[in-house]
Amino acid sequence: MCHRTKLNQNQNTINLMVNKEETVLPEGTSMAQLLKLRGIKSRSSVWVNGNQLLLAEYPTWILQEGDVVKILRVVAGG
Amino acid sequence: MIKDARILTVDLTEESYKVETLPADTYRKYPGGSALGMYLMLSRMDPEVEPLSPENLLIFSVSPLTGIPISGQSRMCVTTKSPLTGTAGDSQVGGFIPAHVKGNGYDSIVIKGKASRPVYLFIEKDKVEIKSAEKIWGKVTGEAEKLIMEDLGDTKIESSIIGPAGENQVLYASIMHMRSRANGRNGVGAVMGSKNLKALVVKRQPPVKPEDPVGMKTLTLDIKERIAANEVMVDTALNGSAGVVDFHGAEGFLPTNNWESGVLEDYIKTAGSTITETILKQRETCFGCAIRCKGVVEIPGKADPEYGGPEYETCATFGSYCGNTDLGDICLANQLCNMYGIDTISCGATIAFAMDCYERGLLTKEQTDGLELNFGRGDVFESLIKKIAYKEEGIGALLALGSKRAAAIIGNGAEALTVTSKGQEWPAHMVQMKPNLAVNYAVNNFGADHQSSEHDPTLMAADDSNDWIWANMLESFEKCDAYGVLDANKAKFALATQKFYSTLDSLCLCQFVWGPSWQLYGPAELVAFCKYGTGWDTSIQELQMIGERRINMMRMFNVKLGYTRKDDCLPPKAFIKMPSGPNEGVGITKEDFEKALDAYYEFAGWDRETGIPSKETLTRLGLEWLL
Ligand code: SF4
Repeated sequence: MCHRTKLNQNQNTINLMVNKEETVLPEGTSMAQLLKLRGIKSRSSVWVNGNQLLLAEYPTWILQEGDVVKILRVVAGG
Repeated sequence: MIKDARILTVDLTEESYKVETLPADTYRKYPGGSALGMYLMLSRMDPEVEPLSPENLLIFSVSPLTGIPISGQSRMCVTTKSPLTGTAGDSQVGGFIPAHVKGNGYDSIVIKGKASRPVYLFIEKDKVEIKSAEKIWGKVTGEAEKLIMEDLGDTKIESSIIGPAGENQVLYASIMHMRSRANGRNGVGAVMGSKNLKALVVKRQPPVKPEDPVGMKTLTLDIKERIAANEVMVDTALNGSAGVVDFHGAEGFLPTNNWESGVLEDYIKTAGSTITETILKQRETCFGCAIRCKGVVEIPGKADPEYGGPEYETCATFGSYCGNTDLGDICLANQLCNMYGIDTISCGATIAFAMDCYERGLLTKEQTDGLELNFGRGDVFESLIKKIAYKEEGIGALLALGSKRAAAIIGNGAEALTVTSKGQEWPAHMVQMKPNLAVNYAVNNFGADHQSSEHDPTLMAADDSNDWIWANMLESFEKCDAYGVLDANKAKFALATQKFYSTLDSLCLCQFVWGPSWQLYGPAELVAFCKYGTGWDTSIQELQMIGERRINMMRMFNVKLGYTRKDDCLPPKAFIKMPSGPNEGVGITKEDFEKALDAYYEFAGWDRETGIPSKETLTRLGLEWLL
């Protein structure tokens, strides 16, 4: 299944894998925006192409064509 | 500095009491709660006693920090020999009574013997009275609370009360406070019932003063900002612990149909967010806590707000465990358990086990008193919980024993359907998602407990998150980027965080507020709280050692009863790979579990073959007296 975000016409896009799902996003999407689009809070941990990002990097990390992204929720106890 | 502890010992057989002092240097080694309770139990009681006999002790303990106004400090531990597990028993409660036990000047209240008639205990500073409870016996918790207020002519009291289930010695009966806060686990309510003790009642007192009020303000002044900056705390304040249903449901790790699966279709109907949007009346708190996580729900004609609202565990045990998505049935089950005084985890889990037996033909309609115990039948809860509370002949008396004993009676392979450790039903955190809990559920000295170590996702957290930074203050861990991983790193994490949680249960702190990961305050702030609250100059190392000492005391209690590595085991369902959902195929293997257990014993300084602490370990912890 392909996860396609609503795009403006003429907007450039990138194709990437997010949690093993093909995903199309507007060019220039940051990690923070991706998390928001998926309804996931920034407390999640993320790996891009096998490297884990710092929380501080989420707002400025721009996703690229062909990236392989893994997102895991840091679920607490309770 | 930690001051001397004041211990009140009440002999119900003799109807007498005495107050003793425990010197400060001893108290520092066993500073309250579970550590103090275990120290007193091991010093004063033969572990071989029958749990429901007058010889068993029932010990209520708080700590040097209890009652000092800051979030998450009002908790009280009950220590006893558990009738459910037959091991050292332990259960914690929050609310207001812990702060007022301390406010009345006591660190521990030890109950021994058995009253010749139903009684309750009333404490107002140095006034200690054993009062008749003959008119209160038999009443549900809410009614009993009102009758006690009438009897004393005073509403400014706090009480911990048993309901009919405790009186009838249901093996997983709880002790209820405020009708909705429970010393829920390990059957502590049955021990109280066996002593003919209906309630512990204390007069409300002013808050305890901290040693250094100015220092305390450095921890409390920015509380609003501190909460706002922590997403888990924001969610906990909004949705309570039931918010965990949302997360586990989305990941496909909600124990479903007696642990056959992690996927409950429509789980969202039972989720914390749904409760908040539909039936939440208000949020309540514990003494001094700014989080206010306790939900109060109202469903006219079905759920009375007097009895609070379901926590995560209750949403799961009466929800997904039973394949039920009717929130009304969950709320009613929660209310009935709180009225009768029954642990919602063991009760819901035991009913789910019975449903599993019924679905497989191991229990027939004749044996269930005509009830159709299919998964999804939340409508059976009302009559079944009542039958359990009163141990009604037939299915009620059978399930009042808990799933392990019931399975032994049912036979025909029913044992394989139980999901227990040391006879206690598992809480709702799947080891496939959180494999360190497989080690913890197995080794934990009072049976499976989800609040005895940090959960695995902490090892997935970003390097610059508190989750990661705080956990690594205890030990250095390796990062983990997948569910289902169980290795030596996880065993190390299980033990190091178990020590910290063990300290929290000794200092009687709420694990939503204080902890080594996602909580509001971390290990360094705990050291500061000890300093500002009591003048106690401590360190993370000393705190870890306190936790470790308490774990080893509990272990030695069990060792004296013949417990060994063979009892540190997992039920067959622990090894099911997730059959469907977003994490289909994820699971742990027996081989990985045994290797992780080996590593845990190694780290703990316990013998690998027997699981018994070595002489060196006990000596290092100052526990030579247990050799
Ligand atoms: S977080 Fe909740 S349970 Fe813990 S002390 Fe605060 S109100 Fe009580």
